[in-house]
Amino acid sequence: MTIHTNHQAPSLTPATFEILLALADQDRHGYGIMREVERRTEGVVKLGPGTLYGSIKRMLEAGIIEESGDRPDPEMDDDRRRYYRLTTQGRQVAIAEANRLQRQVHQAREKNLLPKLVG
Amino acid sequence: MRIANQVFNVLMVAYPRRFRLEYGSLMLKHFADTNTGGFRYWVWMMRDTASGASREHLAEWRDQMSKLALLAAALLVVPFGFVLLNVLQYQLGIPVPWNPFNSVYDQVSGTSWSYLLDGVLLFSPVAALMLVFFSQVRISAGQDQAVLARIEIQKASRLAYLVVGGSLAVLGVMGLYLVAENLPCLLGQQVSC
Repeated sequence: MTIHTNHQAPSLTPATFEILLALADQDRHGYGIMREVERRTEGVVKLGPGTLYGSIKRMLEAGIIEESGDRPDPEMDDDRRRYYRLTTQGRQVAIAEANRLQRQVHQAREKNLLPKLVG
Repeated sequence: MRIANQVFNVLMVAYPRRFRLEYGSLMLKHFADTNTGGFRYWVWMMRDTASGASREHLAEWRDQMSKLALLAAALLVVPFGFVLLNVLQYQLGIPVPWNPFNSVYDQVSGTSWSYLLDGVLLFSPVAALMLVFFSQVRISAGQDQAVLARIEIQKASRLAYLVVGGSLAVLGVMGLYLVAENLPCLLGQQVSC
């Protein structure tokens, strides 16, 4: 998977960006990522095992996430689980994508598709 | 629950073996954690498996192919089509009215087009074999004075084997044709060749 960070680059897949967001504040295992995505999107986005681990595989290959030795989620811990965390490059990719989305939202406001911010 | 896990294990056969070995146990755990049962859940799971497995097969297929091997395969299209259509038409007697090679050889025989086609048919398989060779071999400078160069032969991809087999088959069949056509000349039984 080739990931560009400049603003002309094609956007990430929705699943990839959801996983980046889920890992932005803490290391998580696969099931933890799925729960966090489901919680944040209020159940709208549900990552099945094929989508989740396929995306994780490509993100590991692209170097935007890596396996983490820390196990910060004792509640759901299990030796079989693998934890993942953002790399520096992954954080930059997530920031670039968030900026791109922010620009799009700004343009949508300009075109009156979204209410304008007051103040 | 145990039956559901077994069903999911069967579903995982749809994924490429390498992916299954790497992520199979994690996916099974993920399935066991999320399995809520019910028809809608299974429809969702089947859809996820179908799309995930096809994506992984496609990715694996792409990984295995170097661009050179892909180019080599493309070079074989014309000679392979030529041999296939000629075997169908002349050896098996199946009429192929849309054989494009007939129009080149019948109507403009002896022209630059037919010579060009001859060249493509003969040199494409040879070029394909050379490309596959270079796609599998890496030559790098030696680390010390005792070793001038290091030659590494990579594990050949499935496509590389296919190209080598296809090139040799096409060259073999065309060689047989050439020998059979020119046998009287080679044996001195025909004066004008």
